[in-house]
Amino acid sequence: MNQLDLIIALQQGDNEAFKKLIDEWQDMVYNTALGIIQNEDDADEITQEVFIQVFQSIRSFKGDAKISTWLYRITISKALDYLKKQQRKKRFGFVDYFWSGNKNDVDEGKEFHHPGVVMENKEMASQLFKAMKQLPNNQRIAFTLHKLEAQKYGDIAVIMNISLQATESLIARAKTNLKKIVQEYYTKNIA
Amino acid sequence: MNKKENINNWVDEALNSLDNVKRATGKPYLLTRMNAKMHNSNSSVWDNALQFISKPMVALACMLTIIAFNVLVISRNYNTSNTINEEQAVTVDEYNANITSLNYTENIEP
Repeated sequence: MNQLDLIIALQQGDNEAFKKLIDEWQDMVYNTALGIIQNEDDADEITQEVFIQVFQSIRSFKGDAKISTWLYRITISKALDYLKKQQRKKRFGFVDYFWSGNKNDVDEGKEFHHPGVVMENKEMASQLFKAMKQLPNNQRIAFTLHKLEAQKYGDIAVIMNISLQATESLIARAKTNLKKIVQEYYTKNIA
Repeated sequence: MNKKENINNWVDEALNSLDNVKRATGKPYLLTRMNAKMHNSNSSVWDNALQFISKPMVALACMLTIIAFNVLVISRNYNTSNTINEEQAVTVDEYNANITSLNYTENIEP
């Protein structure tokens, strides 16, 4: 089944087509969300939300972009919403505690280990992920797509709806910033 | 090798640590969990309202509001009843209405 047939089947409410869509793209969506938000449970939650949105809005999909591009865009948008919510939680933690009775569970210092990183790189990668949290959102997304999803600059440009030059610049700035952050960490904690 | 070189090596290693990373795989039964989530999100407005009211802090805030309102109403009534009593006393004095026994009026000397 090619992409166009899949889209038509999805728009006709074919459950098998929806199952096929999930089987094929679930890991891509999950891995992208995981790279951006760095929490496995929340990445799973976002994956569910992405496919629910796809299910609800497939009729409005015109097919002018690849399904993967569309899924990447929804995932990024959901992940950014999540990050905003986290920042709001951090800012109004006391108010939230007063109204909901739940303690603020935003844990910035928690180490994140990506399951796909080889064992000998785990510690180094954990430092890199920690540094990625300090990047501006657009640099964080571009870097995640480039490193974790192995997307080419041209594809990242299409996904993020920016020019190729802008993508190159974003990733270069992300690398420079990451280098600075990691260098500061090692200078302060190890040397 | 000095400290600075060491740090530079670690930084390079950290930046390259995501090379050849494998894609993380999502949890199984996504479709089943999605169906459950969609079913739960269809719960009624009343369910959501009850869920909100049953939060301990919301319940406490409601209770305090009701108590404050009661205190306000009682204190207002107390002030109003005091004013009425004073007015009544003036009226009673003016019309000698505080005489409760006919016997008393009969014994008044002219």
